[in-house]
Amino acid sequence: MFFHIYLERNMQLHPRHFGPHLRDKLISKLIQDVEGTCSGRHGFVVAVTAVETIGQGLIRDGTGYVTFPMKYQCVVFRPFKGEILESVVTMVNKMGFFAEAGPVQIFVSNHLIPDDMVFQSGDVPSYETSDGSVRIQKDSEVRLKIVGTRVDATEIFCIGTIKDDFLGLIGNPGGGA
Amino acid sequence: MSPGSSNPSSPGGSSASDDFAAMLDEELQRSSEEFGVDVDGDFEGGEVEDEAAEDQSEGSAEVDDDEENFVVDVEEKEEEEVDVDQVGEDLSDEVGGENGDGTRKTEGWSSDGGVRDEMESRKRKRVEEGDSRQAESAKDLCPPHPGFMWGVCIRCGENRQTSNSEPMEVGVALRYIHEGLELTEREAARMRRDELKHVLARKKLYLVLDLDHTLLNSARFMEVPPDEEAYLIACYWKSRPTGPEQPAGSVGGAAGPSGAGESEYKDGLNRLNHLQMWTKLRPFAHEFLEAASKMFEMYVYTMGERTYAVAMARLLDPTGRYFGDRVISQGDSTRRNTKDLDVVLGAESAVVILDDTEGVWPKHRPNLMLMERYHFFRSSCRQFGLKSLSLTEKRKDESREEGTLASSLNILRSLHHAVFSETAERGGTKRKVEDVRKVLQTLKKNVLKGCRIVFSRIFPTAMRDMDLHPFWRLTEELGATCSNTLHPSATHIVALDRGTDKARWAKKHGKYLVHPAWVEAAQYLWRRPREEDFPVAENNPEPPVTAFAKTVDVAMEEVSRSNAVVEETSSLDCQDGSKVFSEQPKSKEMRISDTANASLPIENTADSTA
Repeated sequence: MFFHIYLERNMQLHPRHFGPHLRDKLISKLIQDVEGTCSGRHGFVVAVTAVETIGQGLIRDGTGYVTFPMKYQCVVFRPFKGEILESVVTMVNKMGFFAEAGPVQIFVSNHLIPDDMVFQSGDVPSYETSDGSVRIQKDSEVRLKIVGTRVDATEIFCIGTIKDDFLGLIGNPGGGA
Repeated sequence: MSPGSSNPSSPGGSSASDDFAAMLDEELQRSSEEFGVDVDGDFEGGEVEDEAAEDQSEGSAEVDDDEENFVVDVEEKEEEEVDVDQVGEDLSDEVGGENGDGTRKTEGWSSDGGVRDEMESRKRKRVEEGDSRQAESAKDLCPPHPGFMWGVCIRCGENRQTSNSEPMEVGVALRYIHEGLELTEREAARMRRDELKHVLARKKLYLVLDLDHTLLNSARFMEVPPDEEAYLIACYWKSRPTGPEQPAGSVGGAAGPSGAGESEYKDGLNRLNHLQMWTKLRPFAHEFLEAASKMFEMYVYTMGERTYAVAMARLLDPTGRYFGDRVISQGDSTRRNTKDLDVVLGAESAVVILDDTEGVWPKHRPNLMLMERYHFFRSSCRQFGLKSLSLTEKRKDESREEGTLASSLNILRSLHHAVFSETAERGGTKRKVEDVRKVLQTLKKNVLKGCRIVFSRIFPTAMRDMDLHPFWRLTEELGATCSNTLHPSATHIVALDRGTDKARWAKKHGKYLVHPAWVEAAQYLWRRPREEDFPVAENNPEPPVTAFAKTVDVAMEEVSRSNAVVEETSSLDCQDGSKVFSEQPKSKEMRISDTANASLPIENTADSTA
């Protein structure tokens, strides 16, 4: 799920950047530092949308660096238990398959794949129904529900299921449903 | 589920009921189990806040709340339920308060009691609900959890409890499939059963392949002496232009996984710059894999490091269609110094192992097909204490058509045939597939079938239980009848010395007199070796093997088949053959004596008796 939230961060800036573009520099550094990172608490920072305030800088003793407290608004993505996500399959093996929804890795074990879908090894390993009408392989698009998450300080992993109504394959690699 | 839907800073701060506190504690515990300390703080904050604050926080988009709320959100329904409870209690509290003005305390008590009852029942109901919810998603089997990915149960999505509660079940880490995957023993067994069904349905078995000395031989750059290196480079460059799209100039960098023309040179000598290694694939390796992949699901299982294992697997199988992700390296093994099938998701009754070292498979010897070691580089010989010349020094290589891999492939074919044809014979009960181990045993038994072997001074005379000696056992496993005393029906006399009584008897009666290496050879070749190749030399107690299995089996040829190598190799064949393998039996004996308990190496015997 996406959220638009306020976050704070102390940015350190080298004195060489002091000047008319100090603010721009701070912002670009903030974006560079923050976008794409993941914290267990807030999830993945997708984009910084606005910088609310930049506080008073504080010179750090001994280094000359200055610390600015910044308050900014950003879009974060954080998966939750029970959430429905659409994802792209990255790897299929006999234990299940891995999928990615943006930056989140999701594992769907074979317990949580409908029983009528069986693993087919071969050049392109896949899960297939017996009539071959549904085939989940690498690069397939899959709608899944998250049944569990593990949240670390810097990582989020999810376990998903497609064993429910309206879950499962929604698109084959190379387009087409 | 929006950030505001379940607000943690809900009313209820006013209530001081013990029950509520207990409930809250319970909730907190539950939530903190799932979510760490974060929630804890929020909750306490919520408790302290008054109703006015609640209104405010619900309406406003205060920064703090926004941030905190959705973290807590994960609690889902459970929290909402708390809210309901709290509201309920507030109401009753208010009622109680109104009454309390005019009525006696007891009434207040009773109303409190009623609330308590109500809450108890709600609690119970909720527990039941929770159970059923869990059961629904987990198919009434979790816990015990079947396995974990990244520490999260792969079936119910619950985080693994690292502390207290139930003792953690020891799982099998399957890191080669994916980092962080771990299965319990039971789940692995279930997987094996399922897999077996599918695999057998496709008429396949499992094949576990070792890399070093079985499918290939590697040497680090630093281990290769300059003269050898010069030869290697010569071969390397010679072989390159044979690949049509491989211009000679690009050779140096093209080695390794990037080289698409690699497969052109089937007996691949590879220079892996990123690993600082020369790697020589055993001749016939590609053909072997190609043919075997039709009969087997193949695993690579090596004691090497992961990077090495993956690089080698890529050499053998550039497209990944033979092995896929079934590459097991040392780090994936459950034990440090041995290999075990527990990480292989294949039922033991359907696994064949190809390895050059018997000792690393202590638990799965019946599945093992022992391979003759492939020593291409000099360093490899040195590593095993062989003083013989390596293949590079002899400017030779194993034969493709009659080499070890080719002959093993034939064995695998007949094994596969035996396993599945027996199935077919049984017709109706076709689910029963013969145990690979049994088939392997019977195949082995055919090798020296009909041979009646008499040992002459192979074992020390004082030794009791000679039939427990590994060499004796090996001979019997190969189907021969063993004895230590002369018998007219004997067909072979195995001796180290021509001078023994039995050896003379053999000569007189026209029986075969062979060196013990003959039995070893039989083990590797899976057929009766030519007795003439294993004569016993005159008064030479050291095993004077003129030709060991390798030379018998392997028609030597130049490393670079495509075109002439600088050196002419024909001059090097017979007379140094004796030298070449003079040390070999020693190592074999060493291996035998390692693997069995309390037995004397054959050589000692020879010394003491001679």
